[in-house]
Amino acid sequence: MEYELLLSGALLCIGLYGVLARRNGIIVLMSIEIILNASILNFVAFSSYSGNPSGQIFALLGIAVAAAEAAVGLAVFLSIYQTHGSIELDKIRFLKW
Amino acid sequence: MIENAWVAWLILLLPLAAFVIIGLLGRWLRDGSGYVAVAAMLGSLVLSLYVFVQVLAQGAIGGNFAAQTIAGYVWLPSIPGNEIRISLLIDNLSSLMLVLVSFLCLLIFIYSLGYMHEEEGKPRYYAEVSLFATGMLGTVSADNFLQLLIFWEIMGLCSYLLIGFWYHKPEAAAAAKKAFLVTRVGDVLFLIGVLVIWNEFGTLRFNEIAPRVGLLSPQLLTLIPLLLFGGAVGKSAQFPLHAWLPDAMEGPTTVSALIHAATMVKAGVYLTARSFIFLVPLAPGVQPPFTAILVIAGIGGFTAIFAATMAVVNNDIKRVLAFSTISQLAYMFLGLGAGAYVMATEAVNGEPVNSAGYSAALYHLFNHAFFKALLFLSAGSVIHAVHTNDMREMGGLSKSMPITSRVMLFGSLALAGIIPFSGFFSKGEVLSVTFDAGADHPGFYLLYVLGLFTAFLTAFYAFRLWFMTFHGEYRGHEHLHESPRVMTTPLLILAGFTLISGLLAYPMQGFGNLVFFGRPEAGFPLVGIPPVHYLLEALSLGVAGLGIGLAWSIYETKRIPAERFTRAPGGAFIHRMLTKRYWIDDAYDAFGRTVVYGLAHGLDWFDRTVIDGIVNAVARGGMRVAVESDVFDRRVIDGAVNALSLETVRTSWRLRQRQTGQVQNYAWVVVVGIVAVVVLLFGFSFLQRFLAGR
Repeated sequence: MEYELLLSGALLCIGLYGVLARRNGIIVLMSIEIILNASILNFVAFSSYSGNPSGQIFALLGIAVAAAEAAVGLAVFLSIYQTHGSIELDKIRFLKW
Repeated sequence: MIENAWVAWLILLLPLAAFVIIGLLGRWLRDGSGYVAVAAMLGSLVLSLYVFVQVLAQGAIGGNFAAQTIAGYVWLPSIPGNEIRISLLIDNLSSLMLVLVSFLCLLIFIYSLGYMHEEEGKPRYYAEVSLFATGMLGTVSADNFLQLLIFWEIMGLCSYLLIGFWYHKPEAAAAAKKAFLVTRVGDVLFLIGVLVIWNEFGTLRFNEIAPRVGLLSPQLLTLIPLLLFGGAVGKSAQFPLHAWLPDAMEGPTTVSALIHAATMVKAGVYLTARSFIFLVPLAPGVQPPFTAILVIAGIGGFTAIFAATMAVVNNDIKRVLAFSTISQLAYMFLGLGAGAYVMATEAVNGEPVNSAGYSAALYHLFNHAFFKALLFLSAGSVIHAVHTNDMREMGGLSKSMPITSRVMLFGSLALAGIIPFSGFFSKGEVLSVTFDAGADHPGFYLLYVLGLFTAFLTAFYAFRLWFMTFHGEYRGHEHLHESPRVMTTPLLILAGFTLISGLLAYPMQGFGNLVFFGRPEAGFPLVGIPPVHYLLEALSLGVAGLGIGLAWSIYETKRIPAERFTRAPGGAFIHRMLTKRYWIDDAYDAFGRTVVYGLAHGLDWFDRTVIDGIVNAVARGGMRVAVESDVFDRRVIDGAVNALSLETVRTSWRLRQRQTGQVQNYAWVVVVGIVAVVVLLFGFSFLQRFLAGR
């Protein structure tokens, strides 16, 4: 049980690092996927530990939603790249005031 | 009782209607306005005669006619019996005055048709003279003192307006103002007198006051007639309020004849005659106010000679006549005063009173109205021809103006008091009464001497005027012509009256048998009088002849050069004093300049320094407060508002910096926030456990 949780925490930290530190939008998107998988791993681990299957169902649902979210994220970045010619996140400032 | 007594109201209302009609429609009536005025006046005359004939028929001569009040409407309601009514009083005196006034007004209106023919503003003239006629008729028929005062003031207003008829001339405007202001002094005294009467009696009607005069204290009995006499002094231009009348000659000559010779100035005499109810209280046991009587007689005697001396040196034909009017009016006051003194003495001694002075004064009023109107209208006829008032530019006019010359000779003879012209009878009676009063109070002998000397001066200046105007060589440059018929006809009628108005006393067995106070006296003029009176009449006739003779030798034959009198230093001084009118006008002007202007200057200074100072200080204080509040407003209020807004802007700017638009920044914040929440939660539970553990 500890190993699963440690792995999950490591994954979360790696994902957070990617989200906060990397400039490439695609990498950030991938990092978010890692964070999401860390939480899904938690669902599965607690489900097997307690014998309650609803965690398994939540994990499946989370994977499906993550896939959809990845598709939307990629589409957003594609659109940004087409209009601004770049997906470097520190250059994208049009959410400002 | 008088039949159809209501027609007496029409006597007043007809000229009033003429005033309204001409005043409103004058622009369209134009020349017709004169005929409207004449028609109204003719109506008044007919009605006045109708009333007068009834009064005569009901025994006015001999005193069988009881005074009758024609009740009008209640003007000021009050407790019953105490209200002030506008009513007409018809007695011997008022009915005679109504006829006299309406007759003279009619003649002068007719004369005006010719005299004012070329004037602008004729409707204004006729409207104002019609209103004046209403005022005079109302004055002589008033039933009470207040009503008398109202019509008196209407006359004063019309006098002002008509003296200033040529208002574009500065002298005329100034003369109008002077007349109004000087008479105002007297009118205020009159008004005070009326208020005192009201306060004492609670009524203003002559007939109700007369029986109750005995209730007055001696002081009030002296004060009331003197206050009323103050009004008379102003209206009749007696010393010291005489100064306005010579200047009033700036008005048209018809106005001078009508208002300032024949009618309005007589109102003062009429008022004094009415105030005989105070002067000679017929109730037994009442001490008459001898002081007031002496004041009246003294002012009369003094003014007579005072005005006559000024007439002697004047060269303005109208002003000579104006001074003469003052002098002749003074005779009437002298007669009233002397008569009142005689009557009062007789009443105190319990003898039957003899109203000779009263009737002599009114007799002179009656005669003077005719001959002075004649003299003024003749002078107007002369002025109409030569276009100047200065007698030094006249002379020799009898050739080109025969009618005017002759009628003026009639007027001058009447004025001088030559038998059988009217002035002789009445002036002789006034002087005789004054002489008689000397037996009761020696001061009247002095007044008699003054009056006699005045008679000499009167004859002198009357004939000085006539010789300078009509004899010798013409000294002017005008084309001379006699006046039109419309002017000469009234002159001829008046000339006839200078002859017969004195003799009119005969059919009524003496004027005193018609107009009397107390007791009627039958007695033909010059018949059945004491021998000393024949002497007195002869004396006044003699001095009049002397005056005419002196005028003849100076101005006609030039045997005595006029310069002889002014060559000696004393004579020159007197001449200068007389031409300067005893410096009284100058003194009044100086009084006005120094005292009134000084007061005005003082008030002006006070106003500018003190009042304006206070006002300015308040204003300056206000300004300072405003400046301070402005500074406060700008610095503090605006400062606070600006600081607030500036701080808001600055804060928002700082906050804005946080919104970088970089998603990763936001993510950082989220992560830091989560970490902070977690740390806090754990820290808090740890702390709780730690505290519980102890």
